Amino acid sequence: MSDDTNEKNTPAPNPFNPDSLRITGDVNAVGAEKLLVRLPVRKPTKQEFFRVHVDTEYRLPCVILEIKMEREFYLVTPEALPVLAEDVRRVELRLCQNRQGALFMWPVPMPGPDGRTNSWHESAQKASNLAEKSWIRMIAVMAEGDYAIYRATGNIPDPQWPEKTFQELLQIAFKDGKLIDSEDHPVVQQLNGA
Amino acid sequence: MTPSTSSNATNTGDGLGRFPYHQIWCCDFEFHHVDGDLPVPVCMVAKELRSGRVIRLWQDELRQSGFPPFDTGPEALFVAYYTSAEIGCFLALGWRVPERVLDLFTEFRAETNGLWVPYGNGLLGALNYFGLSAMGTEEKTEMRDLVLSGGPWDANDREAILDYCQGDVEALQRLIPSIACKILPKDDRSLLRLGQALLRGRYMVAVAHMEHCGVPVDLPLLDRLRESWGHIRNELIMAVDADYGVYESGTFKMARFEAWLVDKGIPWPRLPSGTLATDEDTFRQMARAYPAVAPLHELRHSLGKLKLNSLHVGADGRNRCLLSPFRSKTGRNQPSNAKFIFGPSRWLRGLIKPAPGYGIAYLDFGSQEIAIAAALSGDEDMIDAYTSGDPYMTFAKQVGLAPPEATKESHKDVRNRCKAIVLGVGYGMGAESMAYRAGLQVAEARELLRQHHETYRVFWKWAENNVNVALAGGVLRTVYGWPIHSGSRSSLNDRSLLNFPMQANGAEMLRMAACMATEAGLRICAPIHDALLLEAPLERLDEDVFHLKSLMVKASEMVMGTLACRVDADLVRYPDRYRDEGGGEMWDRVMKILPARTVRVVE
Repeated sequence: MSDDTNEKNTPAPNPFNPDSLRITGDVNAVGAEKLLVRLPVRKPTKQEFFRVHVDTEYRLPCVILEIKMEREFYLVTPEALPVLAEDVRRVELRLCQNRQGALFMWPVPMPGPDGRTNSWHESAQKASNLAEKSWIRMIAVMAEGDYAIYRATGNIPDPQWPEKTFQELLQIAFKDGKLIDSEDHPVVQQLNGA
Repeated sequence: MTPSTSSNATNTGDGLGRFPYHQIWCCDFEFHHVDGDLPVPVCMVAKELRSGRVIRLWQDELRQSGFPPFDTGPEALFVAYYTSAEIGCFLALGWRVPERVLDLFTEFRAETNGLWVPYGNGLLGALNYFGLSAMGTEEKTEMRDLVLSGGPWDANDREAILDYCQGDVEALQRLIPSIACKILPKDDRSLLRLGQALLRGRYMVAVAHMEHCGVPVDLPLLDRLRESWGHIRNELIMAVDADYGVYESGTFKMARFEAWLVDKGIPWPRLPSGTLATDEDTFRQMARAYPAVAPLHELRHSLGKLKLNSLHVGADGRNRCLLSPFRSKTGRNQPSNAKFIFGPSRWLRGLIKPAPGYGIAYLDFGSQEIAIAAALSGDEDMIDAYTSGDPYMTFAKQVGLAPPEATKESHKDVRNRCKAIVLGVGYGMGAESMAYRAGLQVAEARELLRQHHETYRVFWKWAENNVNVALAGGVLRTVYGWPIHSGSRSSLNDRSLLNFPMQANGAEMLRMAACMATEAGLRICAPIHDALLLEAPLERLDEDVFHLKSLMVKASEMVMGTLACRVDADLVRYPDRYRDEGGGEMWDRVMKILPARTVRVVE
């Protein structure tokens, strides 16, 4: 039998029996996944409801440096701490997500080494704890010197958290030189007037 | 007269032998017709590719034969380009239609859907696309004109037309390898593709049946409308514009329209230049959002006299035109707006009227896009919403906008807002379009859309993955294989890709229903987006409606698997006429004007 003759063994498809012609399952050989390439470090805005990851593995007590002019946060390692002692703050980094599904890392203020705190910090900590279980929005009330905290009511679904580890998330949040681990770091040099 | 046949066995040498059919017939008809009437076959040429046998039949020979001059059973493959035209000739001749149809037009569309086709989708375009030799356009036009002249033709003309027809058959033979390379049976996948191609061919036969049937139209009334249109136009403007004051000497004035919008507080979309957008789409959407705009929209849409005259209605009072299957990217039919009774202004559909002793029924799939989205994505919450019978109200309840005991009546406004979002997603609309469509603030539409994302996460993950697949160079396919390609030659955006599975599988559903219905002997007048128009003698109307309903439900299950689509039916019995919800007011206006003019003529 040549190539150009009917191969009798080939079954002829029947268009009047479409069940056999239906594609089931995933017919596409390729797909895509959304990559997390940026993770802002910031506090929640007054216009967003947010949640905080409840898992203790997704929080990190640490020291950060905030360059307010540039609205940039730097993570400071113990090695670099002596040269920045006056400029840094003790915080607890918490993983957050707003109602639009956007992730961010919130540096929640912590009491200083002497245990002193203030009403702003206390209300922010309270908000972060409440946001572990509820959708929370916080607004600064200057007259009262703290944050007003709102809890969303109604049946709002829980957020879907990324599968990455906190270590991986930290690397994304503080990539591109946002980790200060020595006095040679350009930001340290800049603060020292170099 | 003995039919002209010749035999010149050919070894195609291109693997066509792998087609699991004893015979492969390439066939082409030449025919002429008056707009709206049935085709009048002039000649037919058919060539069997294995044996090389050629059959050439002139019109008198065609009419003498009560059956096709070749095998049309399941062992023979019938190949044509835009097969509905060929099958239309079969039906006009009373011939038995082929059972296995490979339409090279549908397969060329499938091969290139979503891509730029430089030479068009006709036979010449397909040949040029693949770099195959083709007859010159001028020569083809000349021969087509000769055919369309309707005769009489002398012996030379006859030979020339038959040769021209045979030229198209030879072109089909050249085209098959290029188009069929993916469906030649060599493995399970290509066998599946061949089966899916035959399914499309099966639909082209159903299209021929529907085009043959046509939509019953009140022809005497249409003639009166055409004769009186100038007078009606002026009266209409006067009558409608009394509430608007936007016309001046019969001309629509933008400044006056803008003043009316300001007065009514209606926000209207603008062009980048700042002027008001007054295109048909904008008017249609705004008329839905703001009912006060509807009569003006209907008036503007109705004022094109050309459209009234372009409507293709045959001498037997049937609206027949090309249904243009597979013309849209989603595979839906795309008949000419001007020629199709369901295309022009909605009020004109009042011309649809069953013949004495008959009734018609408009059966459509309820919330088809939502059902498909729910079923194919497997989103249980969306499935619950659809099966509740009111997906809009259920969405409102799911997101907490309405209490569990809320009903369509108790929470009408909330339901309408949710409806705009749920439907908008099915049509691939963004928040802005949804807002315009439903008369919502854009911010509110965005919030509702966000809630839709949050409530139907499984659906959105599935939908966004579809877009990614396409943009990553993959091919999106319906459950029966209608594809859309993206790539460097594509002009697709992510919204149309997101929308594709719902619309294209909806098209599959309707095609399946149309096939089963026409094959069951039901008289289907036309497909209309997600609906079929049925005609039946009055004494059998209810029975046929029930039959068609069951076939449409079955078709929905064939596409969606576990879920069935709801089917709604509107029946019209002679002497009543079809009345479209959106065009009823305009129809009444026109009818009020029409008799007045007739009386004057009589005087």
